[in-house]
Amino acid sequence: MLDEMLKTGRVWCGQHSGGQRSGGQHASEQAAGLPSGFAELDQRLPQGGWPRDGVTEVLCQAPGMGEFSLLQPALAQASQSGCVALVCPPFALHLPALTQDIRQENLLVIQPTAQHRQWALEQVLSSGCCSALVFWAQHAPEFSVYRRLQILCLQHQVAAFFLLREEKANTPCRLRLQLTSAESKASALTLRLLKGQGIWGQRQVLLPRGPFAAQPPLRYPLL
Amino acid sequence: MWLYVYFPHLFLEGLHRESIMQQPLALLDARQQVMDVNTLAAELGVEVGMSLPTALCLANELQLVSFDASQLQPVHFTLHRRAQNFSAWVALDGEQGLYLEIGSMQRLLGDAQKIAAQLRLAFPEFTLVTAAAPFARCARLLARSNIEGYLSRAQLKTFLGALAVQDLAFNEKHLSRLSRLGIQSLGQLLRLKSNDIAYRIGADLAKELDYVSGRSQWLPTKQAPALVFQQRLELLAEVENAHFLVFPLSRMMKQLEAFLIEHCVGCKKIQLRFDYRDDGYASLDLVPAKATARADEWLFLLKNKLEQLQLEQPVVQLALYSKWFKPVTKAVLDLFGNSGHGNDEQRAALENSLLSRLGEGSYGYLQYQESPWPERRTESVRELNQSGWQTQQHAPVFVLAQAVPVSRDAYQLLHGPERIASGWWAAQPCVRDYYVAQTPQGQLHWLYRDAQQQWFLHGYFS
Repeated sequence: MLDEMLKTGRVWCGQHSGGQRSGGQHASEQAAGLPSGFAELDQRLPQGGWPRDGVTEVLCQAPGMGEFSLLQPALAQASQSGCVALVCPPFALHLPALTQDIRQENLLVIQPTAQHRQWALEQVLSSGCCSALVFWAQHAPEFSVYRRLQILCLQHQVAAFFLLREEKANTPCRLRLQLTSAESKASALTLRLLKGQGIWGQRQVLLPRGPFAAQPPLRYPLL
Repeated sequence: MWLYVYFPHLFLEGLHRESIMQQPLALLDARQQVMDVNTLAAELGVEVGMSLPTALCLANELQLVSFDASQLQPVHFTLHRRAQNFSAWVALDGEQGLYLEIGSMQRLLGDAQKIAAQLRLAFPEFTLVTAAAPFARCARLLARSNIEGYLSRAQLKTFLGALAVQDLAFNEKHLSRLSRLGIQSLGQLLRLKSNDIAYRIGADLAKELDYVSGRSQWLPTKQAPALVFQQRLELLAEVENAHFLVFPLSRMMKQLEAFLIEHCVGCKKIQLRFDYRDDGYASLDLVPAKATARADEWLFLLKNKLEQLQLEQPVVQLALYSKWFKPVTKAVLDLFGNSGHGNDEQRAALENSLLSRLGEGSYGYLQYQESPWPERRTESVRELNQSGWQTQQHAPVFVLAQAVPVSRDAYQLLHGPERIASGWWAAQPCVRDYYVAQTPQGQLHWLYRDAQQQWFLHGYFS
């Protein structure tokens, strides 16, 4: 039982954090999380990946920070075993940008009206057919609503990602991280882990961002 | 060679199968005259052609059924489907008959008599009269006149010649004219010239006789009746509250389910009609996310929709109608009875609840469509028709439906240009140079420059 609790990250365990983990334990913890697709990030995350049974908050101030691309490898994996619901995307999604690993028939885009947003989220989480959910929210839901969503995630084993514009300190999320662009390099993203059970040590991760190394040529025929 | 099957009691036997053996039944036409009776009613003295009061005087327990041709559609579908086991050329004739071309089937199934015997086994619940003849209309005349004859071309003339005209299913007007002219047998009639018959008796009879005797050729047209489910239910008491309608409707849904399972189809839409006590009616369309046969899914949709239904008057009659069907394929099960996509039912339930609460267009799956305009390449559909897409290296996650004019100065260009010059057939062709650009805050935007050298923001690399 203790193993189970350790595995799911319910018990905070200081000595097993960061680079000090022993090999066997590291492997078992990795199996519990949803692999993010970035080895460096997986190492930092307490379960060796995104929580499969809770809400992960991704903070970014404006669209265009690569927030969805960050989740894509995990969503591709989640789509193999169940439905991936994309709730309230701010603009129309563009299929050519998505990885081919995502199962198209499992990618469900939902656009509820503002008054039905909470209901739709609860329906998706409690349906039992969804393995992941991405919710584009301007602000974090109210605490009581948030708590209910978090419990539904736990009950139905759904990895939920809330993409938020601004941070709200008092939310019952499992993990909170912030995306900013790296100051030194245009082709990299800085990811700061703000909150998470069992996070210890270095909280900043630098992730690669899109192969945009080729600078536009200076001379080309105009249209 | 044609075989004609006549079902004299099709309406009662097809639609009132349960009660036909238990209580006296009479079928009434629009003029309130008895069209057909079952055995129990006939024993009480009720006859075809009687007026309603006379029939009720003879049998006060008589159950009355009004004739409605549209209710026969599912019965016709069943008849047609079963008859296709005996012939590839099956045609419905009116409400109560079927033509079967059996000339080409005789080597396989035997002669007309054998085929007729097999047909009786295929339609155990119906009374039927069969007749076979070289001409379709001849077989029809015999069967409709309750004469079971299986005629070859050689026997035809003698057999027809001996038939008494009064026994044949001609209409009353023609029969009285024939008797006034002193024509007793069909042989006498067939010896007359067609023009004379048309002049003295009726052009339609002359034409009919030409078809019967084979002087003119007539072939029934092959037609498959469309599958339709239709049911009406008169409520015993007036219902004012829409929620109480769930109970009778759930019974109708169960019958719909049995019907759908029998025909191996799912239903894409059903129409409900609530007839008011006085004039008018309310109607409701139920559209599930995916074609389904399950009554519980329909009931779920129904309960959600009934909440929105406003009844202006008490309801006295319900009607359920559907003709929107889709064949369902049975899911392939693995060793443990799982269908691979173990959560299909849960997904259908989720989609149904989203659809019923949020309405159409509230959810969808992404489908790729080849188009020079990037904003038209992804569409949201309720059911995927084609799968797969072309991944592009420098494509943004979000594309704006309408590009926003921007100033180039605020951006640092990282990649480009990627030129799209196509869509010349449209009013506004797609002629654009696309760039990946970064804002001072580090966001990646997808910009394009059009032929007028104007810059637009068209997407986000989210």
